[in-house]
Amino acid sequence: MLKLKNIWVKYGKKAAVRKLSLSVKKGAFVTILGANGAGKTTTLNAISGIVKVKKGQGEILFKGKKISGLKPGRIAAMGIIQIPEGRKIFPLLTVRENLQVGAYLQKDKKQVQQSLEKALALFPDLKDKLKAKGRELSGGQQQMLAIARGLMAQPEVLLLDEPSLGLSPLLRLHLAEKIKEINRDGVTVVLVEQNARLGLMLASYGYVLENGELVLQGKTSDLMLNEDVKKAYLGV
Amino acid sequence: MPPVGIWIDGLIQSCIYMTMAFGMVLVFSILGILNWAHGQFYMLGAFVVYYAVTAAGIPFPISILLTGLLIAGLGIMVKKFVIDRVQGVLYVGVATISLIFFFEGAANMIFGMEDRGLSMVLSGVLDLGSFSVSYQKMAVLVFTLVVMIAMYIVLNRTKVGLAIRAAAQEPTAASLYGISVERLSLIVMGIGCALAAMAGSIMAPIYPINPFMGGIPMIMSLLAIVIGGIGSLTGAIVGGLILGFLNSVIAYYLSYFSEVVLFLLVIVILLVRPQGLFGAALK
Repeated sequence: MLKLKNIWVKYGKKAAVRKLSLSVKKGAFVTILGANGAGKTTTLNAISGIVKVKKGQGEILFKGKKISGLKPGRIAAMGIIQIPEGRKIFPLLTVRENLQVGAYLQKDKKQVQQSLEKALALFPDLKDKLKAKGRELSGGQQQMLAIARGLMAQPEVLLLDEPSLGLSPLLRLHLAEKIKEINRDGVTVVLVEQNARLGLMLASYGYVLENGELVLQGKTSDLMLNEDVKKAYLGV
Repeated sequence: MPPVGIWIDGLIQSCIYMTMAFGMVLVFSILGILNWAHGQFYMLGAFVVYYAVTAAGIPFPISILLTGLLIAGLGIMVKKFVIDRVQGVLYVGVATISLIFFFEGAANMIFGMEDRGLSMVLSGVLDLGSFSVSYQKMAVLVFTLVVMIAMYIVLNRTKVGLAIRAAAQEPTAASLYGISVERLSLIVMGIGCALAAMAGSIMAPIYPINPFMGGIPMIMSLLAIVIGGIGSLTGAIVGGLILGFLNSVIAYYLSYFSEVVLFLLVIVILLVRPQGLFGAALK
């Protein structure tokens, strides 16, 4: 469904992502692991069109159509939605308005209302906070809002960038449950995590990046037993 | 206590500074730049309405709307053909500063140096017993109220307003959900320049019209923005309100010395609150 073919992304002379290929099947749950600066966020931003993949530097296909080179809005309209790192909720918009921005491209009012009900059913905490400003929420609630906002866009593929960052272990588990539920509902999920344990626990297939290069891939059940992964990412 | 007329003049000035400062902040919140030629759009607005009324015989209120539309188009062209062609905040600043001289020079060549007036429009006064207000000044007040209410509705009740507020706060996240910041830049540039031009045209019956009339209102609205806190729309309105009254009342006591006092006051305000009254609390 989503395919990256030999992608290069350079910031100036330094390559953040080198010759990266990966593919995600419909309905799959894939995780991308790696240390800080390994190129995980850049990979997601390349898919979303926030960083441009230049001509001759590989291509990105979605349902067989080339999406590299398109503007972020066009890619979002096709159903690939990113929940950015650091949540990036709108601090001075109310929770309801934050969700409305998520549904910005949706024309059908009835469907928007349905997505709203669905998102609030998944994150009931937000229900009493609809009139609160984004910045008045706790860190955990902000992450819930960021994901709910993404769901308002009716995604086929959800790209999650470090959703567990800054959350307590308990909240992290709570969030993991929610993400699993979204995936079970038919949404394809690509999860970027520095917390490798969480990523491997949730996803069924994993890619490991180092310095922008793909060094390892496989089923998460295999990766968990891999000696290098254990040493480098799981601290065992 | 200064007489009522001085307060009314202060209020009229407040109206203009508020409208101009609001437009500048709106542009700043999306483009991240100050348009230094904002005052020249005010000046062009006055000239366009002058010719629309005197040469074409179009009624004053319709002329104002037409002026707004025309100068909005000019603003969008400035965005596309000047601001977009220059890289970096500093260079864009220099480019818009040079537009001040371009527009003033062009107006000078086309319209000439001498003052023009539109004082025959809306002549007459409303007698309120102990004092009276001219219809021209009341028109400024009504215009500003209508503009502020309209802007409030656009920003808080429409989809494009939601997009503007979202993009001002988190442009990257906004673009992830299909909001085109590029298109919004054109829209706010159009709105901002139209506001300045309409402010110029509503003032055309009161002040003399000449190519250099944009300088003072521009500096005043810039001060209003600085006092209010750069980036805050509320700050622009409150700053404009304060500045108009200050300017008028201080001038009543000190005449030409008033500007010295005014700038000193602004410096004092900034020493106490460097971020401005509504500063840092973004937009």
